[in-house]
Amino acid sequence: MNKNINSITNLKERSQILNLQDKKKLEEAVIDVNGLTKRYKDFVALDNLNLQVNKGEIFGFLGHNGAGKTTTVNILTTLLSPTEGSARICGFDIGGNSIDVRKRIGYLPENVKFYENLTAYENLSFFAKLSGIQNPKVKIFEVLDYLEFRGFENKKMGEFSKGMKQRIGIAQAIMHEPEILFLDEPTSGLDPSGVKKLREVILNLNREKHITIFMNTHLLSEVARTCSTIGILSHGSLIYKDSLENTLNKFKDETTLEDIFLNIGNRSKK
Amino acid sequence: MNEIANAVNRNIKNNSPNPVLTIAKKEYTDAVKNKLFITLLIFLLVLTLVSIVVSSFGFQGKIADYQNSLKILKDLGKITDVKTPPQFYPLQMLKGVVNYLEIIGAILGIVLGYLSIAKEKGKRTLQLILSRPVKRSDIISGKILGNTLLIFSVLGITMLFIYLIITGIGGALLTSTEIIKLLLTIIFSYIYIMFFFCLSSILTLKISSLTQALVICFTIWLVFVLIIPQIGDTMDPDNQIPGGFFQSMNISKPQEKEIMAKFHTYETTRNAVEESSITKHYERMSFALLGIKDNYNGKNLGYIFKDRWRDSVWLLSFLIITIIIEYSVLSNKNKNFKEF
Repeated sequence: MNKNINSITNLKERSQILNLQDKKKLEEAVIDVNGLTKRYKDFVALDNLNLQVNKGEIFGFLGHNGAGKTTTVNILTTLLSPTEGSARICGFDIGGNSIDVRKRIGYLPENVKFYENLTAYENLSFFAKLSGIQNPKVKIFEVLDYLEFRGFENKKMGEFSKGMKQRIGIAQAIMHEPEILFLDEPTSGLDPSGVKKLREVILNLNREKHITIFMNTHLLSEVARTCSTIGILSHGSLIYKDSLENTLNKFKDETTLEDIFLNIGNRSKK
Repeated sequence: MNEIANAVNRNIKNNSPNPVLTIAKKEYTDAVKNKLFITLLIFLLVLTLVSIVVSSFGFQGKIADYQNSLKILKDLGKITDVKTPPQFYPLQMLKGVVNYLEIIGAILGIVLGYLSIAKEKGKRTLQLILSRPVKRSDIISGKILGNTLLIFSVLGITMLFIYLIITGIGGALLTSTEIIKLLLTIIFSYIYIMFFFCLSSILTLKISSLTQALVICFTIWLVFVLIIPQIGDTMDPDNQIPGGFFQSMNISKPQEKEIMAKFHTYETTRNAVEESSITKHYERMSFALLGIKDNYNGKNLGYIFKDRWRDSVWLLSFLIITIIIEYSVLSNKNKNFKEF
């Protein structure tokens, strides 16, 4: 395996090594999507989506409104069944092993408001128990400490600002130490300081807890600051996927990520 | 992948908290903190008190009428014509309570069913629950269990309130049979309210617009609870005069049966109209158990169930069908949870 692939002239040996490398790559892919399609009667929300996200990545899933980003997340989090195709999360099939998939993921939908009559602690305790956490109290305080959000646990959720609710949302999503965190438009509706705090939390979760993050967003500025890899979805199809670094190198002439996004979008239309 | 599995197993042991009980507890806690629920409970208790007070005044009126008649008869020297004094049956005082439960109980069921889904839909918490390692059937089981406890709490508080009024203020003691009949009435009231809970939660799940779902729920309530029983009552010739048409005309039971036999098709239609409403079945069952209908007063449970078994079967069937539909609706994974 340490041999340089280019130095191998025997085609069979070369093919075997390439296969092994492919397998290794697949083992690293914690999200592996193959030919995923979702139709609602005549409307195709997702069209033969193929996508791999490797362990430890912060994957920014970009697309205009209605491109199929939320449908993808809903399918990958086992909320929705695909019409065709399959997907594996941490090696588990989303159809046949949905419970195993759910044990390994955390999810924060867009604009989640929680149970407003209950306190933050009661809300977190409810989701902790549903996640099968044995000692919710210890875990809740541990996570709140990590998110620097202690002191608000006995406040009713109805009294929380949007940014505070998002932090509780992150807390509920990471309490059970998931391998992958799915975030659907996490910065939607937040003020600049809320966006900054949330960005720090996402980066820390990835660096310190090694959580793979799959983030749906249409905010390119957020992608530029947070993500390691980007994918662009248009009309249910993946039209582009590469690392942020490569993307910026490929499109040197474009001054901003917005320009790159428009450039890729225009190319796909052609 | 073993590394991932081990990491998860470190945190999630096999004997993890039961999701059904967790959801049930949350449903209960959330509802008792809901102002609308508390308002409905207080409203029901106030109506219960009013209904018993009105019934007791009615009974006092009957006693006063009896005393007056007795005095007149004595003055006329016709002491032999004296009828037996009106008997006090404490459970008969609950007629108004049953009538209120028919209306407010159904509303309570609709409100609880609507809230139990609408709050999840509007706040997107159903997506969060469904993204946890929980079976879809556990969600419905948890909701049904939580609201069962809630409805029993409401009925328990109401019945305790009734018991305290009847025994504490009224000074009447309930026999063990009467207590059992009261408890059975609680069970049938639960079935009745739970039917509306399930119906309303199914509609709230199925219909995308919450407002539309609520409007349809109340339209069904209007039809089942008010219109159909009213049509049935209006079609009943015996209901047209207070005390009963046949009794006021001094027509005996055999003669009444003979007359009604000539209106067989009409009676079948009237019965079918009444039987299509769960409210009528609940009313018939409760009135029989509480002895509100004179022909069941003082009768044992065997007699009552032999005569009214169809109503209990209908009530249970209504509930079981809605529960089955509710499970199938939430288990439908093709439902687009983007709507939630």
